Amino acid sequence: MKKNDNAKVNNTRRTILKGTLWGSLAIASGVSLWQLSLTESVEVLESDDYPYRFLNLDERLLLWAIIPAYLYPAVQPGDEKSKFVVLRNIDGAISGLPQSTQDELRQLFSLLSFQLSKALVAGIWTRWNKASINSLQYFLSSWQESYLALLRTGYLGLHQIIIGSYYGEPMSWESIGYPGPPQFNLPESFYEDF
Amino acid sequence: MKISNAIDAAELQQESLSADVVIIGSGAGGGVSAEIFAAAGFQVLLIEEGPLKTARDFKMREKDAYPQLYQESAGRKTIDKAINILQGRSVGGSTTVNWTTSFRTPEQTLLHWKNNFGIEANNQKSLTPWFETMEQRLNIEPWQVPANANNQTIANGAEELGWSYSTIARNVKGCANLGYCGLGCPINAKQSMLTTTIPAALEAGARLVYKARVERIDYKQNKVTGCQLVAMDDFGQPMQNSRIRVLAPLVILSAGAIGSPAVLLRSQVPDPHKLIGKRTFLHPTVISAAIMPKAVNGYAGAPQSIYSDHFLWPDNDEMGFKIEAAPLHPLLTSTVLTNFGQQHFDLMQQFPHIQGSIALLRDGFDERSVGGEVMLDDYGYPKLNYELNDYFWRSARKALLTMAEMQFAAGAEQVLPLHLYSQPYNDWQQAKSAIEQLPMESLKALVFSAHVMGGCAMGSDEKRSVVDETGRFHQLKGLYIFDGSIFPTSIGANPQLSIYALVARLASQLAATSRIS
Repeated sequence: MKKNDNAKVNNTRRTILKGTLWGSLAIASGVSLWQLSLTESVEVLESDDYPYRFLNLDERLLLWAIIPAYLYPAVQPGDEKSKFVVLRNIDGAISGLPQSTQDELRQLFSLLSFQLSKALVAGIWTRWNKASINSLQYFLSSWQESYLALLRTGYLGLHQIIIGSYYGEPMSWESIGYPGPPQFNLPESFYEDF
Repeated sequence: MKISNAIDAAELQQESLSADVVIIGSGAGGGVSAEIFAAAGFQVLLIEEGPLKTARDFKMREKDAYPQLYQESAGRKTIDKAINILQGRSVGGSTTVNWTTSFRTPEQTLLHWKNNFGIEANNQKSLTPWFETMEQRLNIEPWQVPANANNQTIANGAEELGWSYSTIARNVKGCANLGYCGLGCPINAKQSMLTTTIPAALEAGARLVYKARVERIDYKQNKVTGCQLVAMDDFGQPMQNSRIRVLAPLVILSAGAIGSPAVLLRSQVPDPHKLIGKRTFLHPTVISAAIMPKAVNGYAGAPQSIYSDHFLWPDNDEMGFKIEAAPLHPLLTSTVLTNFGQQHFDLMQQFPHIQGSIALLRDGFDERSVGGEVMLDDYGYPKLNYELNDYFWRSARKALLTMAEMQFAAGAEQVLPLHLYSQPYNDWQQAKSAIEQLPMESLKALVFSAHVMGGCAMGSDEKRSVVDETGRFHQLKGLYIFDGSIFPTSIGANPQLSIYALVARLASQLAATSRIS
């Protein structure tokens, strides 16, 4: 192995061991500006007593806004039922991931929150609850097309958990022409023979 | 299955267990080893990190199957997140969820091992009877039913272009052609370890402890003494106050190409040449989606029945690739189509018309292809670092071009190579010039893997290998590694039958020469 390669491996190892894929960009932002403007969603989410294992209220607010940005027009911004299903699926999916991946997702949510706050300050939209799907989708494009691998990783990571959490559900299947898995009821004796 | 011999680690009343042989991992390597040692009269203890799920539990729902049956909910990734790895994690390992595709190890691969790694004893001649044995044991034979439309597209395109293609052999018995192999076979037709070797081993007296992770292998001086387990909860997280000690003079490590190096690294076994976890291979895979004029219904029918090896062994020294089909179920399909909003929904509405072709690149056969490295994170959990270099990207681009040409030749209306910046192209010329321009870089072009190999390479030279040709770990007595991690390169074909046959040979040898204590 060349010297150069060795340095690269060591460098990578240092990065992993510190476990901060998103850490460098995700400056702890405290209470985000954009969250303060979320009055209506806060009420809906605060009165939700589902026992989330991973997602805290801040993260749920964040996802509440970003879910329809990924999924519109399959999911309408006002479609609370679908958004709750997706939110709970996301929570369940993350709960089964290894601890270091969970840590990274926390950092990703923090980065997302921070970047959205910046967009709010920059005047891309004036109040969060007025943020149109268009503005949010413009924001997603900026991550998707970023020259920074970090932001593309964030885009793809959110894409996988949000979009997967919707299309795993029967409620999404009719619109895409998927009939669902075949149905059959095998007698208990079938399994006992095995 | 003799369920009384299987127990959830969290419900174990004892703090210690003992056995003649402990087998770590219940996939292709562990399953085959368990049957052979149990039949030879050894007291076998088989350990599995994932849960015990059987046909009764397999409801063909992606949402339930991925978290239950796959590593990291089917979202396992390399450190830089550039490669998504599908790997099983339940009793039966990846054999419970694989697509049943069965190939013997290509002769070229075995010759490459002989010429480059000094592997003499495991050759075409010595392995042939073991391929036959395992083909019989698992009912492996070429698929007789007509290919589904998803696979037929590959045959049609290859036929049109004059490329070679053939029918895939599958390990099934009484298969109903449902198409849900990847979510666990609901009718026990798949001849996985879950339905064959493991029930046979339990019947012969072996014990199975599931939802148990092996934290470390114990050893004293230079001899193994057993291992330590921690029970896993329903979310696959370790329960720290539930440690179990296993005493066994013989340890067989079959945790797969990511798991086996991880166990060795956690155990801090001697590794004088720093080889453990190095040269891990994936068959990095790129995908091309096509929109076909007639419905394909890629979720129905045997997931893989046609392949083309036309580009697998090129005359130059570029990385060759194998072409196969990928079954399409809505959750996984939706996540690999990487756009969002209206564009994503437009594609999803064409779901029944989507055909999925994949190209599996044969990594590890050239000095420019060194594979990845398994490391441990702060929690002692394995992470794979795998750098995709220009040597890989050149062939990846060629593979995307090849599949697009094939799909258009088969009548595709549009072809979409999976890439962050691609779009559906309307004809071969348009696709060709676009694919030639696409930036082939990590996290732009999408890369997947369903095969993990290497990381504990076998070989004749102790300075270049982790185990010898019998699977014996060079540095400790009583430790053998029987799984895909001992391959010194990737296989160049779906690896399950390569693991079955090699492990059947090595485990039979070891069982015949070991004494029951």
